[in-house]
Amino acid sequence: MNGVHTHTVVAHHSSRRSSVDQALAGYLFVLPALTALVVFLVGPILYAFYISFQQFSFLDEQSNRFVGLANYVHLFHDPVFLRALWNTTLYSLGVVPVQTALALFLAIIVNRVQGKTFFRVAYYLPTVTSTVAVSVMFVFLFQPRGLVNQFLALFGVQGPNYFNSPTFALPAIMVMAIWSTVGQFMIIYLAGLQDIPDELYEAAAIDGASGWKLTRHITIPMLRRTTFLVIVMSLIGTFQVFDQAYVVSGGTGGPLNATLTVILDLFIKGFKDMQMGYASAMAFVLFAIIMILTLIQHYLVGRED
Amino acid sequence: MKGRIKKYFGAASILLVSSGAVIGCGQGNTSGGNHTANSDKAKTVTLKLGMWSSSPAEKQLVEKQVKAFEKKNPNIKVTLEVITGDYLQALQPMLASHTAPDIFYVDSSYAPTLEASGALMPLDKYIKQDHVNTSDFSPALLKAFQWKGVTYGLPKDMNTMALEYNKSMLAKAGIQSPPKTWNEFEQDAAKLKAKGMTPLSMPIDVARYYPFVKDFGGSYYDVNSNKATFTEKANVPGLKFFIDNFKQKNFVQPKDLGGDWAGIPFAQGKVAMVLEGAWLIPFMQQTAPKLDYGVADLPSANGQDFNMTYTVSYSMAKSTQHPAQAAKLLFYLTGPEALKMTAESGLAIPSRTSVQGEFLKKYPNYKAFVDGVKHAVPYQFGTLGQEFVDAINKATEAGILQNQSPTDVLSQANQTLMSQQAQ
Repeated sequence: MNGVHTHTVVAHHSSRRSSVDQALAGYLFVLPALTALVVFLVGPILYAFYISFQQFSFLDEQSNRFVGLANYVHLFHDPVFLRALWNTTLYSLGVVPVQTALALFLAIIVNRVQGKTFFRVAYYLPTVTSTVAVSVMFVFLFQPRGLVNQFLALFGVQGPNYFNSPTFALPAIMVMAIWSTVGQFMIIYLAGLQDIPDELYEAAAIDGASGWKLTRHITIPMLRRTTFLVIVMSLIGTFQVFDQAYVVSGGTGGPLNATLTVILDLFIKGFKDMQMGYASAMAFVLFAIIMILTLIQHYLVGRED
Repeated sequence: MKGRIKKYFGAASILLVSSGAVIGCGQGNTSGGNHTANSDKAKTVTLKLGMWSSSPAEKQLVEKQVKAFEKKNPNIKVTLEVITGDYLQALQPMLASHTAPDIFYVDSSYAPTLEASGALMPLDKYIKQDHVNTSDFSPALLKAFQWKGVTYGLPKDMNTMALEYNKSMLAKAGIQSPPKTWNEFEQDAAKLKAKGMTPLSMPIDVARYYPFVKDFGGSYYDVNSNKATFTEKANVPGLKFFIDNFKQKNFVQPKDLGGDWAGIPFAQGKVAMVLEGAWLIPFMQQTAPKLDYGVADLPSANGQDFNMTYTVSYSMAKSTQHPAQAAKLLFYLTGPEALKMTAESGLAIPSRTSVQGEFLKKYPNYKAFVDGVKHAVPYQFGTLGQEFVDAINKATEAGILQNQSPTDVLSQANQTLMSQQAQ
């Protein structure tokens, strides 16, 4: 009796010890990653938040001072920032729906067609290509006498000088962005398509559904979670657009601020005009906007049924 | 038990390695000069030289100059730190964390911002100690690196604008010699247009068109107050001249001719004239060696021939541990001996007038650029820097693309600049 009792106590005790040990070992293993995360990500974010309430320049430490909410207030009176925000919003509105629809369309087709692998690679290739390289390529395509305009000329249409026209510069960047990222979202959709059980299609087919009806009533609703993911990722990506605008405008956001995006404006303010505090405030406003938009989508699309 | 020890050992060793890497990084960044702290007689001092490199040839030139310096100063070693990517972006955090190279390139366009911030070392004391002859530099170049009467850098080379013209295109339009004044230019432009040729390509950039404003008696910037003076009435005629030439298609943007900058359409023979700096010459050698072109002085307007100079200095970081040695290196690299090597390489126009003669003997087609510095203003607008340039460039662009009047352009520029500064 006594022996049994001590035995259980020991067993209990040792299992608790080992679970603590295990946790400790686990923490030790993640510690390097955790340290790197805190030092290089969380720390800088907190510090950026702190300096967003300051007039702050890297170089001139003496003149750094606390200005309260002045940076944030000024943002909403700054015509250049508002223009950047407007451009970014337009860009998002243009890119996200088209990109999502196109990715879904391609995924459905690629899923059925012969030579799946080839098309997957072909559509995914632009995603793994450097955005700068892609931008340079599109600069050539969209030149006044580039490929696009020569094609239009076949139909007697005189194309504009895209990247030097305040009207066409942003749409040209949108086209570029759609082309280069649609493959990435197509892959996500393809994964989603694999998860739809065949029975659903079979059952629907027995009920007399076919073609478009299957897509409309089974594929799209079943891909709801995937769509949520795609839209969120694509929205975050579009709100953070930088490389394309930087390359196309030579870092100025021109012509006439037509390609000035929030991140490009932030970059100019922080690293060219040396107003780090103001640039940090900009980053947090952008963060808030993306956060709110994601929450709204979560409410609209992502709710569990 | 054994298993557990192994587990801990594994985790601990990972930790050790990664923390070692972190410490290693820290040391890597701060090296470059804790050696002298121990003894004053320390054998060698290592200095870091920060630069960008527009081509492999530029790095080779600096290496050659540094080697010559090391030979003369056996107890100073110099390592080059070539910064790729955005130079100013890379430099800022280095200056802030006091890990900047001891001496480094500074472009005149943002020099005042760095000078006013206190990140650069005042050089006057060292100039006196080492008896550096600064009167040999063109005044415009020297002034580009002075702020409130204090010298923060010495120019290593310079560039100005000249008029480059395609000889066969001018001949086709029946033009004997390139225009000497902008009035002559307008007549020549009419002849070129009549033959279906584009007269001149230049970007809508204050860095290129500011001489027009100065020629007609205007000024966008007041040095004494460090303020923008866009809305002065005297600025209107110069800007109007520039905008009008765009309206009449005498000037065409490089972008409209399919190039990032004017050199590209010029090399392709799509435009008869351009206003560019001496960087055009090596570019033409590479891309269009057969194109026959000439280089003439920047035309004058209204009897004035202002020009603009783009210059780069060697400056010293205030955080340097070895200011005396760094000054020695700085003075050597901006001195006659090193600049002679620059002159021989033909990579840049040396900043000292005493070396320019020799340079021109070897490279006679740079004469217009060398002469241009006599009436040049440095391309810089005090601490207003990039904001100033962005404000006026975007307003001017609007003036040309959306047909606004010069007065509107100037008040728009003023308004934008104000809105960016008020904080």
